[in-house]
Amino acid sequence: MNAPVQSDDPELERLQAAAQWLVRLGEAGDDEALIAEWLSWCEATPENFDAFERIEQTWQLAGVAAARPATQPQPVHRRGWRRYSARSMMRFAAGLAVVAVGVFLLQPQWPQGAQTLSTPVAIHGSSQLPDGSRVELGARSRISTHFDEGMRRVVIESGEAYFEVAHDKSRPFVVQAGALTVTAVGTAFNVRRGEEQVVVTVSEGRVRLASKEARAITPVRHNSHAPAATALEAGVGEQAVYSVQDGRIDLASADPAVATAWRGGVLKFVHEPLHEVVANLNRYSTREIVLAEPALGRLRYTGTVFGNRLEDWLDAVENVFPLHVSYDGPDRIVLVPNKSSSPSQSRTRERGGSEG
Amino acid sequence: MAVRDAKQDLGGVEAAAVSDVERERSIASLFRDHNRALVSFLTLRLQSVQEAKEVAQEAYVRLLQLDRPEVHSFLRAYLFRIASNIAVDRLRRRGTERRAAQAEVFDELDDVHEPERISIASEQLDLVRRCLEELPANCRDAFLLHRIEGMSVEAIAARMNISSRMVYLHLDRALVYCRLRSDGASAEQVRQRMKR
Repeated sequence: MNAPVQSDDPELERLQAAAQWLVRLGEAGDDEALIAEWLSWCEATPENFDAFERIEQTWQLAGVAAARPATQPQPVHRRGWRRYSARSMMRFAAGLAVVAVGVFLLQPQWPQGAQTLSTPVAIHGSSQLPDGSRVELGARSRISTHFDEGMRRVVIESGEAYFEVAHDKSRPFVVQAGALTVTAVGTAFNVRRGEEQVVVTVSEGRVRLASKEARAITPVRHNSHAPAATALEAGVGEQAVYSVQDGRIDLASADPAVATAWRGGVLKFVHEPLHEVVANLNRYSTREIVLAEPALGRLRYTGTVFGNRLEDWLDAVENVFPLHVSYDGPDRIVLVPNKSSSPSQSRTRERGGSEG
Repeated sequence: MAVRDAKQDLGGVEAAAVSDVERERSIASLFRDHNRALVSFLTLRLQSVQEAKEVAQEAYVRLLQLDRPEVHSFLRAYLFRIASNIAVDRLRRRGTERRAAQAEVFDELDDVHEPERISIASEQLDLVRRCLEELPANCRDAFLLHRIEGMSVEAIAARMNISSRMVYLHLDRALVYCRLRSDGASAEQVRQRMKR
């Protein structure tokens, strides 16, 4: 895959790359990022894909050859197999494969290694975890799973994920996003990890929130003055916002449908800072959206964006806020404040729009 | 293939304006451009070229029926995802029915009405079998655990007490070695060539 440009045996290197792709695709064939990379490699030159097909043919033949008795006497360890007919041998091989899959599903063997799932820009992915829980990954997101007998731990390295947790009292399901941990037993919830905040929204059941930073465990409820607690719980219709900077968790009520709308390709925002909105949109945009001035990021945005219609949003945002959209080359879109307006004016615009 | 992909690679911005007719056309060209790769991809999963072709066809039909606007820009990824899902469904069904994993290849090879084909195929099989015997023991073991017992790289590494990286190297090596030998080179020639 990382073949040098100059090579004295390009065919060999191509076959080696093809073999690497084949094995990796076999291992993680539902990783869309991997498939996309593989396709670009295939498309780079026709010889690449030819090499892949040749390696695949060998892979198929080798599978058959190893599972079937030889037509000529064979030395060493495969001799015993010849007592069986080709058919029964084949069934034996197939049975092995089935058992292996069954074991994998029921008793996942990922004891030591971490398993990583990731999505590229603008693509969602979903996967069943070895314990039967389901995870749905937003665009440009990455998680890793670390399961053992005592705990099911998932680390959100970036982006957003929705979990439907399989019930297992003996093994807590713990999601970690930076210093924040979210513990669930039989629950569905969404976690969005941003640079400045982590937003946890509960769709079903309850989750327990804790932070590695001690001061973080002071819940700030919107209408009550809850005392400091060692752990904070959130239930259905509640949303916890963890601030990365001051380690505080705010709990408020929120519609889980809004937080999980992304699963249907729609991004919904309610009174969110523009920099968070832009960070999320960038997971869906092949061109990076940039704020020309940090002050713009503090504007609050409420609205709906279709993941595949960022252009519409860019049109709309020019009307909502005192800014204009500037296309800076093929890969960057810059939001530039208009000269005459200050960001504070726009805050009123967001609320009513009638003052304008 | 690459040229017609351009629209898709532009992401959501470009694709939003695509009409239904254009969409069907773009799905058709998507299918044309990627069918070979898709079948190849599915063959890995299903261990059967014939079934891979069926699944690719089914994925195409489902993609055409899919009425979700957000799908426009991610067609290729969706095509592979849908196909992958269908393949998984089939494998599950196959598991319950206990169908042979390599039925098609075997049916083809066991076809008594075509003795010539069988003998050619048998020769090929014997050669590949010999190639596997020629491999260093570790390399062969890793390959057989992967290919026959369907073990993951991770599991093989644990079983053989070697690193995953080493398992990958063994698997890559086994495939390339067998391929070059099947192309007619002698064991010694292939070893020399791969040594460089």
